[in-house]
Amino acid sequence: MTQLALVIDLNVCVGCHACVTSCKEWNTSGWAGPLTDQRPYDADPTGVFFNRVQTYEAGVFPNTETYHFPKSCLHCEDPPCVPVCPTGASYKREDNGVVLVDYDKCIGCKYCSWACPYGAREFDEQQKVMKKCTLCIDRITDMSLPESERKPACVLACPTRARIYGDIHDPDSEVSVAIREQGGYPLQPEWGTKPSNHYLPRRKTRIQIHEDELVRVDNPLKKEALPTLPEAGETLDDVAW
Amino acid sequence: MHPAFSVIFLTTLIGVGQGLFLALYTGQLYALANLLPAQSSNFYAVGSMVSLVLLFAGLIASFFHLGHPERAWRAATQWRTSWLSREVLALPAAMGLIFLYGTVHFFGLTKPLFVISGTLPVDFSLIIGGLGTLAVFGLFLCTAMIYASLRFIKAWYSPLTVANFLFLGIASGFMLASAFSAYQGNSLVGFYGTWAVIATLFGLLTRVATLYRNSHFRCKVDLKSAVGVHHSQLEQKAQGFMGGSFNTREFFHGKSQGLLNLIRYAFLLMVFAVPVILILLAYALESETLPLLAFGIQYLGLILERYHFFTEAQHPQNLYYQSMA
Amino acid sequence: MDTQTYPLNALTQRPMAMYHSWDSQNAWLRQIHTHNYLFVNPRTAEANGFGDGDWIWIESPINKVRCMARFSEAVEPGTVWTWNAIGKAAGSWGLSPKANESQKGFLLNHVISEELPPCEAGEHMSNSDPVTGQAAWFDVRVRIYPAEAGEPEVTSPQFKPQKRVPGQDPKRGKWQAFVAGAFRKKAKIQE
Repeated sequence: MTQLALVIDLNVCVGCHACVTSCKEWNTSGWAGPLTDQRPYDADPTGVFFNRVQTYEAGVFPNTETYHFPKSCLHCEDPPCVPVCPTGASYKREDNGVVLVDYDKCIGCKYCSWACPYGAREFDEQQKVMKKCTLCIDRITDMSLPESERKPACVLACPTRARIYGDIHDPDSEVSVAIREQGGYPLQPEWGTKPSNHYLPRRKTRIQIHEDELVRVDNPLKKEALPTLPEAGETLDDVAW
Repeated sequence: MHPAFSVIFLTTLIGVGQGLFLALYTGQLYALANLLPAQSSNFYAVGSMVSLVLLFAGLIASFFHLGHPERAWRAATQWRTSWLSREVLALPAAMGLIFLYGTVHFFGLTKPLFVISGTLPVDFSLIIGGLGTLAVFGLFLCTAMIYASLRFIKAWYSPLTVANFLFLGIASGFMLASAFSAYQGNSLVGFYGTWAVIATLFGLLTRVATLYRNSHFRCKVDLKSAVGVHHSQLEQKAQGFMGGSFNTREFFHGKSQGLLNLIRYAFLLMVFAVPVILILLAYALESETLPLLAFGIQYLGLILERYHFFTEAQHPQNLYYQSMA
Repeated sequence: MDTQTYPLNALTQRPMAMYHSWDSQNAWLRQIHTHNYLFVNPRTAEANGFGDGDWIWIESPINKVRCMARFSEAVEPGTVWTWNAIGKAAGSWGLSPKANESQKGFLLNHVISEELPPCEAGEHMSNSDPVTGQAAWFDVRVRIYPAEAGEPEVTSPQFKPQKRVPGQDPKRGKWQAFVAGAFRKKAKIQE
């Protein structure tokens, strides 16, 4: 069985929010739209988004890391929001595992959002129905698009390729390989909801720089000072200078 | 969680209505066993009517919770999986049976149909009342399980939630039955008052146990697990928006701890202490108004109790919405 | 410059969500950054006697700005910074005068001098890069201190709300369509 999902690489996400706005742009004008806004030009503007990027900091200065953390519906394999829906408006697609809401059946009781530990669902105050990430179901299933574009809008928009999309049940897919090889993890695994979306953790990257490169005499930052030879004597760079 | 007044009124009103019906039927059973004097048909008919009005008021209140009440009929379809859907079925079932129970008494269709072992005359009202009792208990279960089945909200995920809904509903219903008897001037005031006090005390036991439980547990997940960064010092800086969203409106009560403490003391007094004292006073003074006062105060207290019930619930999604910049 | 009195460097940076779209009054982008905080290292804040989220003053030799502080371990203790170009004057950019940008948002521009202090090069030297003309703002020195208890919880400076430009009038009620044009003569509008 297919289970489509996103894998989000926290190592390269820079928090540019391009996935946030491209998501809203695609979805507000498509199958899942509109994503309405309240008070757009007034105090406390608010509205429906399917995807948000949050920022966290870990550690104490100077050993701090800033995490940009995109969060949307995780399309759980065992979604707790689906069985609680009294009308059957919330459902999980059999063929590709995407969790969706049928707006025409939704009575707006918000019970599904109570049952989601991730806060992935947002209620549309204007249309009075529950909305959520559709994984751009109208894109990924649109056979008239070339295959390279049959991907969620956020994936296509990401400038750092921090978002990978694919079938996590296919062991050879790009997402499965990424999860396997880079230690992809789900959020709040304690609940047993088996989120399909995974996150790739930070990796330690070391700068490949040698000592003599730092002390080179023609360091442009030291241009205005008189060139002085390092104590260790001439380096290859000094010869070039 | 943000307290939803529509749901607060729904649960408290139908609780009273259900309790009142149980009180009427208990009274009928006691009368059948010659433990209490039999009441006129009018008593049961009017009592059922009051119960029905309360259930109906609760139903109306529930519609205010919905974004699309005109589609509410769809909510009856998923009874296999959803407690909310089961409640949507149980509520009209209970209302229908209570209506029938009242109608049977109103038209006096209480001639025994048959007699079991020569001592127990069975009539329509006994059968319908029995079915109604089942429906009412089912409705209590469904209403409470809507909250008690949410395994992520630990404050609610407990059999105590069901016990609270049950005992507090029964207590307020019997309290109303006592007031109703006092109003009608019959001799059941003491009987209903006693049972109301007993149910109230049971409710006190389970509610205080709930409060104790909720002040002593730790959530299963923390921010580290929520974000997946297992650093001892992980702090949120931005939540992705600053003008609020559904996530910050629906799952945070936004009330100060001082106000919540005040509400807690107020409901402990108004639901438990004051009504019990008033009922005891009503015995001593043989007063007809005190049971009514006891019910009124208890009902107002229940509204506060349900409000507090919502504010007690800490949703795990709140982990993601602690700070902004 | 007395670096003892003004011990901190103040920087700004552009929010990444708005990097390529400077019109931050955009209905979606302004939900992401609708006001800004001054990011301060907790140790710096502790030394200056305020807490996370408190209202504080940022003062440079020429001016001061009131804003809210947000603790950040990612900022060096001798530096404070904020998002640039979030703060706006009340009523500007087509936003409501009550918009968060003007009530809680602030610009560091007010503490940045347009001219260099008088020096041997002249009395009125522009505070900008001599080659590109780019305004200089990475050499601002400031000090920070908590706002007084009774101060209003809005950023300072505040300005009189800007008037709406034609075409930005608030939406009229439906009933006004029935009397549309009735007051043209009174308003001395020529046909």
